[in-house]
Formats: sequence, structure tokens, C-alpha cells
Amino acid sequence: MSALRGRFNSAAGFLDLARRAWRRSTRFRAGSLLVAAMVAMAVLGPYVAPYPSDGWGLVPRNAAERAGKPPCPEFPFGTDNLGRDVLSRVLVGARLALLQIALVVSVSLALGLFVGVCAAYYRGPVEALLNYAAEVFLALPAMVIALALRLALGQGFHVVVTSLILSWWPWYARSSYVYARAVVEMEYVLLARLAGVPDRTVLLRHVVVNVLPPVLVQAITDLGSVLLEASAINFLGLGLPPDAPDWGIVVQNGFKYIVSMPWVSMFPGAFILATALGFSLVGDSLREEMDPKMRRRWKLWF
Amino acid sequence: MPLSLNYLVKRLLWSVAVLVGVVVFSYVVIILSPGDPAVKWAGNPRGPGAAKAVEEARRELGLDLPLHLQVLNFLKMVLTGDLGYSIAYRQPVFAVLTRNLAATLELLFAAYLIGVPLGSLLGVAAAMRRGGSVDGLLQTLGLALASTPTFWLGMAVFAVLFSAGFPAYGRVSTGLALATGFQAITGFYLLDALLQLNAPVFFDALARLLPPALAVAAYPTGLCLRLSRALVADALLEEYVRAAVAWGVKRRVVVWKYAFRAALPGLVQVAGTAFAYSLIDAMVVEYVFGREGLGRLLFDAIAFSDFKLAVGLLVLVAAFYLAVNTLADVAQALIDPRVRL
Amino acid sequence: MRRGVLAAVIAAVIVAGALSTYFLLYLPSQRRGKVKTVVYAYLDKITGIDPSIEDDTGIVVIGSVYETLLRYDPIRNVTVPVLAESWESSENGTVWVFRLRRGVVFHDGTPFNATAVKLSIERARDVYRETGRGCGYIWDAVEEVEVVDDYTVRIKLSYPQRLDLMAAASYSAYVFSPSALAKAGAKGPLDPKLEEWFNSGNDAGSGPYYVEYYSPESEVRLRKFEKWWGWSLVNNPDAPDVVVIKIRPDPLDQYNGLLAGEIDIASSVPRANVRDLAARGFKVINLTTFHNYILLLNVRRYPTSVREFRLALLHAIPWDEIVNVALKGFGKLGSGILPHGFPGHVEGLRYSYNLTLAREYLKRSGVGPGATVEFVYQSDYEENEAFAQLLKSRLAELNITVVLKPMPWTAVKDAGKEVWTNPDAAPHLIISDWWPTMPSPYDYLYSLLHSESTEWNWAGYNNTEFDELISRAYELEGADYAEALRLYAEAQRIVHEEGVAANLWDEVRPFVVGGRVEVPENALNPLYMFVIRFEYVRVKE
Repeated sequence: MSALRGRFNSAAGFLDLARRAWRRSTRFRAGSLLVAAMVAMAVLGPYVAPYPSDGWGLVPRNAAERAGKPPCPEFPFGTDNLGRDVLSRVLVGARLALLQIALVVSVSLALGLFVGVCAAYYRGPVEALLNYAAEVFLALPAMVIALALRLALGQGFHVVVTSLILSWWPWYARSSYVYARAVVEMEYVLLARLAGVPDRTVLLRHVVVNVLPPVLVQAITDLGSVLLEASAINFLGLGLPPDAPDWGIVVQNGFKYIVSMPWVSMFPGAFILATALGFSLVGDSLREEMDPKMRRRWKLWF
Repeated sequence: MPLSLNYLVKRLLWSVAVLVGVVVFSYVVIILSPGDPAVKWAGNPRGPGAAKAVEEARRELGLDLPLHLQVLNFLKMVLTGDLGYSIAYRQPVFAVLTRNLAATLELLFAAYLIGVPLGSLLGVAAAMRRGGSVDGLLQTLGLALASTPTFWLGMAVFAVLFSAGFPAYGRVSTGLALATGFQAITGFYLLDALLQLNAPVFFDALARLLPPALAVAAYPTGLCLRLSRALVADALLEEYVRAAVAWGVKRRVVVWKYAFRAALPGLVQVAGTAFAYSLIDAMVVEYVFGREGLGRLLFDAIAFSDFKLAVGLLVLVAAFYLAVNTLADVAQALIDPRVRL
Repeated sequence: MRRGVLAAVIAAVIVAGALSTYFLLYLPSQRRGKVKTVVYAYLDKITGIDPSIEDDTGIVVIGSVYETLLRYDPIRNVTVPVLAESWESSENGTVWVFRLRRGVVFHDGTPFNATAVKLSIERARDVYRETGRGCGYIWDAVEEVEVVDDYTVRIKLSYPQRLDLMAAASYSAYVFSPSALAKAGAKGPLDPKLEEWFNSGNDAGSGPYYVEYYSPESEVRLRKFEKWWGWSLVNNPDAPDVVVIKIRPDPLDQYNGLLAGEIDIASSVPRANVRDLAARGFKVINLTTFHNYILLLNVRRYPTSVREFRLALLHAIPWDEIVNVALKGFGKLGSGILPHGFPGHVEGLRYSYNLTLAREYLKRSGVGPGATVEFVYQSDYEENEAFAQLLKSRLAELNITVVLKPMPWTAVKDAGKEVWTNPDAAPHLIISDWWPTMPSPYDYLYSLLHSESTEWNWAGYNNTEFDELISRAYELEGADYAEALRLYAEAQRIVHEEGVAANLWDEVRPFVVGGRVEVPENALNPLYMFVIRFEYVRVKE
């Protein structure tokens, strides 16, 4: 089973993979630094923000004289139309960004893995049904699901997260299904089943363990994509309410003033870009590291 | 013939089945929304006659039936191309959607006409220099382009052009369109202007189309860059390429005629899927640039709690996805002799 | 093979060059002669143009296409003649006689006469009675419309009323041509076919402009009606030939459109950008409107059901910051319920921002610390959003959490009405933005606070004393106007003391006008919000 060679199937294996990637790939190092910075911001943001209450979206007392200031030493990222410090809003917003993407990816991964592995293992009608459900949600981008949920449930955190989970789980279901099919057809799995090992044990010990690693690496890349979609949903006002400390929301706050105070939107947007890029760099290099074909040293032979 | 009728029929049936799932899901979710669509349909009546009017509206909209019958009725309608009446527009949803679809598609086509060739070109360039620093830079560029929030990029493009004295706003100058007697025929303004030999409107519409198209093009450019880099680099390792080089075939010919040719089917497949999803990006960018199109309908659906319009949008987006993917598979089969469908 | 490619490229270049030369040189010379065009950017979709039924944004079109019998002049607080030349009331305001203007024609050439007036009034009234739609309640008192002769109508009322004010209402008071019925194939004035006919872009008005193209979600085009009776009075040779009403919901859009030269008159650019536009040479007309933003407090849900708690909230509203921070200077701080310049407005009826007093009230209310209140407001108004964030920030100082619930207009309405059926699901605070249908304080006070007005009284306020006061005042309007106004003031004082509702601000709407166009003062009227009387607008080519 050459497709599965070079994969890790334990935490130690994963660390080993990461270490190798760190040694070999500049892009992995750059990506890890970006991700680390993002996580640090999420943890420390509210404590290091120069104006924490601005960061939470509260309008300062002297709003009238502080409104619409371009970047300056006192406000490195400038202030918005209600006089709030944009740097503080960006710093505090990191936490919600991380929370959204972590929640979405972990739940979709768990759901998708479960569905994909079950479909591959049980086959028959279960397989058909699960594949069908996955196909239906693949056809619906998160944005339009968010539209539906926005109409049905109103604004809120739950709308962003639910719509993203609904549109992301099929990807994991599909790739786990493909990998799981390969594993299930292996002889030792068949033998284990024939030997009367309970389904649950076979699934956990053989199938999931082998399917998880590639899907997990995919998930790291997806953290960035999910952040992009979540920000877009929040930007359009389909998700979080307009006073939430979220990057997409801050970009939206600055939208009307894009010409007169571009800094309000540009800074938080740049942070979305940097974070998404960080996750993509990490995920991409890990995938290269895992796939031996891609790891080969290129020889320019012509 | 790599493409069989049997496959096409199967594929079509499967698409219809998926569409049924989409319709059921969206109808059931949206019908749960608070606020009574019947009241809106009746025109927010008050006073003594209100109750009767709302009751009538409820019957008219079919909301008095049990949920499963409503869904069944709606399914029947959708399969015959009828999406009901929009509450916001008081017109058939189908007409509202098709009228706005052209604007969004025009933007999307423009973006992909820019993004796919540009990305592939850069990807091939990276593959030819693989391992080097140019390759690394290009690959990072590809990742960065694919990681850029489209709405934000649109705003940045807009702001930059604006400060350069060129506000790219809307689809076409109203004054110009009126003055030259421009008529929208197909809804693709560039095409319409060509058909009417209306050069001022053509160039005006083009100048307003390109900036948002650039913003939408970021994602396909990044995607095609990375993909063509990977596929072409793979192909360059193949024996037949090595053989061709040994035979003394020119480097340019080897790369384009053999390696890129081999990468093409995969590129078509992935670009196809991306094209379907980029519809959403185009809608968002339309909003940023103040263009008419499907993007605006998204807001109308919310502002008017127009559940029919919202369901219509969901169905349209899903149908678009299914259609584009089928086409991409067919195109792939036509290009790639190894694929048989 | 190489040569073939080269030849093809050269041929293509030649063809492309020839085509573009043709396009660029020939076509522009074909451009129109001199059509004076004005493009007006309006922020909402047109909800309909049925002159008897429409009660929302359609007025922007209807206001230029149809005419009423009279028009209200808010500066002098009088009604002035339009389709009626003179009028009088008798029998204590229960019988009204209108003498109509002669020589007026509708857009299709049908002459205007008393039959049209009768049909129009009765249709508006009956549609309201039958289906509850439109603003036909202004004709609720009308018992009989009698056609005395072609140019005289006598209207009998069931109770005394200032019918001249009703005839000047901004909704459901428009006169349309009876020929519309035949054109629509309608069996009678209440046939839904007639409404459908109107709403598919047809008009039957007598105003200075007629509808030429109607696409309610994107664009409405009006064209000058040469046979309008008023042109000689207006005496404006530069009046636009074509008026394009562009639906541009996004303020930023309007701003960009102005700068791109796409829009001549913008009704809502971002407030913070107005100064910038003025600096770029655009004219800014600040219209103080009757459009005001009234905060209603839910008296049927804890804790806003406690009077002291309501007063605590009202004294913690940052009144001093509303105009400066939230409105960027474009507003007038409210007082009482009615807007400035409107009959019945009371000056000095406002709360102050006073945290000590607010704390005192809070203590007395017995509502524990850490209370949470829900606040619903319309999401697409920039100034509402800014106010909401401001309010949330200031109430945080009192340790009161405000949950912001911005909603689209229809949802705001649904949430507000809930106060009567399920008060605990209705928000504690809600902003109702109101503009009057008829120039009477009753319009505001009844709709927003009368216990029978369950459609719009989102406070759930039910006070018999208040109800009786305003009803008595309304009935007195026909007989003793001054006394009526006194009673209206008293009613507002009660509301103020109970802390049920407060006018936050009156809108000052900056209309921004491009260089080609001149909008004189009399083209705007605060009663007819957003309606520009294009016959007064001058276009310079």
C-alpha cells in the first residue's frame, strides 16, 4: 500500500513529520511562525491591546475627537468612524477567528471521518445514503447555507459555525471514504473481520488510524480556507452581529469608509490574509513531506 | 468515443437527485424562519380587513398545507422550472434570477479568462525552474493569492483605483447607455454592446468589468499556478518526456506539447470545480463594486425575508455547481483519452 | 505554417483596428441631441406605484407622477391648492366642498374632473376597509363623495375632521384617471387587476412626469409631461426631460456614483463623507425632515416594565453624543415625540445624560445589577448602527448589558408587534423611524402609542388617559386647532414622565448634488420624504 507510506499514525509520528518539514522547508518555517503569531495573539490579544475596551467594540468616551484618525504613533492602525482603535480591535479579534475555525474544522473532521469510514466499511445502502448526503452539501457553498440559516435563525455565532460545518464535512467524508476503502480492502482487515473482532475495534484500530493522518494534514490547510469563508460570511452580515470582535466585522465596519479611511478595513483584512496564508504554508509543506514523490530532490536534467 | 450516452443519462439523473436534496433542505430550513411570509405577501395589511387578506395570501402561497405537502408541491414546481413568486420583487423568482445571473456570469467568465491562463503560465514557469528560488517564490505567491479574502481584495483594488481617479462603479454609465440607446439583450453587456456595435458602451463596460474581475481572478490564478506547477513538474519526470528530450525535441515543445498537455485534464477538472464555487466570490465582489447581479439578491432576500427568493438562490447555486461539474467531467473526458465515461 | 500564423495575426489586427476606428469615430457622433437628464439615487427598492394603496417607498415615483387635491406647506403650516383651487368646510367640519382646477389632463389625455376625485378617494378608503392595505384610513371619516358638477365635489364626513389636511396627505390621497380601469381590464375599482396594472409600471396620473420605464429593484425612468397644467406657473425652461431614479441601496455606492459622474442627486451618502464631497465642489442641501427616530421601551416585559428602570435607561442614553458621534452632525436632537417644525412639536421635553440620576433611578427600580436588555433596530441605517453601539457602550457603565439585534425592516416590524401577543419575545428597546402620512400630531401619537394601534405601538403602551387626550385633540382639530395642539402637548408630557418613548433625533438629510444640476429649495418638502419635485430642478448642459 504505497499510498499510505510515509504517514504518521501517532502524535510522535506527527511531531517527527513536523520536525522534518521544519528542517527542509523554508515555507514551512514561515508558515509556522505566522500560525504561532496568530495563536499568541488569540491568547494574549486582550491583555496586550492598548485600548482593550475599544477592542471589544465599546465606543470610547471621547469618540468625537478620536474618530477617523489615520495611523499615527498613538493609534498605529488608526481609528474607525466611532473613534475605536483599530489595532486593539484586530488584537482582540484574533480569539474569535481562531475559535470559529477550530470549531468548524474539528467538528467537520469528526463528522466527515465518521461518515466516510462508515460508508466504506458497511457499504450497501449506508454507503449510498452517506455519499448522497455528502453530494447534496457539496453542492451548497457555506455562503448560501448561511443565507438560509440567517433567515431562519437570525444573526449569531451559531449561524457562521453551523453553515461552515454543513459545507465542510462532505470534504472530509469524501477523502476519508476514499482512504478507508483502500484500507478496508486490505487482507488483514478482512481477516480481522472474519476472526470475529468486533466492528468497533476494527474500525478504530485499523481503519481510522490509517485514514486520519492524511485527512488531518488536509484539515490544517483548510483552517485557512475556513477563515476566509467565515470572514466573508461575517463581512456580508450573515453571521456575527455587527458589534462582535471579529476581523470580518471590522472590515465591514470600514466598508462604507473605504475611500476616506481605508485603514479600518485594510489592516484586519491583512491579518485574515496572513493567517490563512500561514495555515496554507504549513499544510502544504506537510503534505509534500508526507508524499514521497513530492519530496524527491528535483534534478534539472535538461 | 470516450463519452457514452449511458454515462450522460446517469449523470443527469444523479444531478437531479442531488438537486432534490438541495430543494428539500433549503425549503425546510427557510420555512422555519420567524415572521409570516403571508403577511408580507398580503402587503402588511392592517385594520379590519387584515385577517382575511393574510388568510388568502397564505392559501395563495400554499402555506396552509402540511409541511411535507408543501415540500412536495415545491419540488414539483422546481422540476418544471418554476420557483414560485418572489415576495420582494412580486415577480417569478425564476425571472428575477435569470435576469441577474448574466451580470454575475459575465464577471465570473472575465475573472477566469484572466486567472486560468495567467496561473497556468506562472505554474509552468515555476515547474521549469523547480527547486530554485523562483519556484519557491511563485509557489508562495500562488498560496497567497488563494489565501486572500476576495471581498477585501476587491475593496483594496477599488480604493487604489479610486485614489488614482478611476472609480470603477456599477456595470455601465447610465448617461452613456441612455445617450447611445444601449439596450440590454442578453444581459452580458460586453456582448450586447458588440451586437449593437456600440463602442463607447463596450469600452465603458469593459473598464468597469476589469477591476472586479481582477479581484475575483486571484483565487483561480493561485489555484492554477499551484496545480499546473505540480502536474507539469510530475509530467516532466515521465519517461516519454525524457525520451523526447533525448531525441532532441525543443525544450519549449517538450514543456507545452507533452508536459502541459498531460497536465491539462487535471487542470480542467479542478478549475471547473473552482469555477462553480467562485460564483460566490463574484457575488461578494459585485456587492463591493456596486454592480447589479446575484449578489444584490442575497441582500434583498434578507431585507424582505423573501424566503422564495432565498430558496431560489440556493437551488440556482447548487444547480450551477452540478452543471459546471458535469461539464468539467465531460471536457476532461474529451481531452484525456485515458478517461472513459 | 509560421507564415500562415503571421498572416492571420496581421489580418486580425487590421480588422480589429478598423472596427475600433469605426466605433470610436462614427458612433459617438450619433449621440443624442439635447435630452436633459437627471439621475437621482435613492436607497430603497420601489415597493409599488399604486396611487391608492402604496404606503412606502413608492412615493418617490408617485410624488412626481400623481397629484393630490392640496399640498401641505410645513413652513407656514397651511395647505395650498393643487388639483383643487379652493375649498371650504361647513357644519362644524363635517361637510367639505372642493372646487377643482379646470383644464387639467391626465397623462393619457383624459380630462381631470370630479368623477376622478370620487373614484380615487373611494378606492383608497375601500381598499383599506376591505383588505387593510394602504393608508386609506385617512379617508375613514368619509361617508359620501358627491359629484356636484364636473368641477365640484362635496364630501360628507361621519365625524368632524380637518379634511384639507387629509387631502394633502402624502399617501393614498392621489387622484388617478378613471380610464385606468378599462386599460387594466378591471371590473371595478377594487379588482386586484387594477393594482397589478399599476404595479407593472403603468400610470394614470396628472403630474409633471410620467412613468416611461419601471424596474422597481433597479431603475425607474420618468419623462416630462408636456401638457402638465403647472408648467406655466413653474416657469422653468431647464426642467429635466428625463428623470432616472436609480436604486442604489448602499451609501458608498451613491458616493462613488457621484464622483464617477453617474449620479446627479444622491439621497444618502455616508455621513462621514459629506464634508469630503463638499470640498470636491458638490453642493450639499441639508433638508431637516419630519423623519424621526423614536425609541420605544417595552412596558410589558421585565425589566423595562418598571418605570424607574426605564427612566434610568433614558438618563443613561448619551444624548450629548448622539448628534456629534452617531449622526456626524446630520440630525437634530429630538424633543417629545413629534419632530421640529411639525405641528404639535414641544421644545424642551427631553432627558439629560446624567449617570448619577440614572444610578439613583436604577437603585429605586429594584432591578438587580447586571440586567440585560435587547435592542432591535433597522440594520441598514448607518446612524442606527452607530447609535446602537454608542448606547451599548454607555449602558455598560451602568452594568447593563445591551444585546444588539439589528434586523431588516420587515423583521423589525414583526419583532415590534410581538409586544401585544408575546411581550417576553419582543425586544426591550426598539427604534421606530416614522414619517407622517398626514400633517397632524395624531399621525404620530396614535400610531406609535395608542392602545388600539397594535400594528405600530411597539411599546405595548396602554394608557386610557393618553388615548382619550389624543382622541379628543383629533376631534377638536376641525373646530379649535389651538386647543387641540395644547392637548397633544399634554399627551407628550405624560409619555415623557412615564419614560415610554422618546424621540431620539430628527433626521437632517444631506442631499448631495453634482455640478450639472441645481435643486432649488422648493423642490424639497419634508412631508414628502425623498420626493424631489423635478419640475423645479434645473439642468445645465
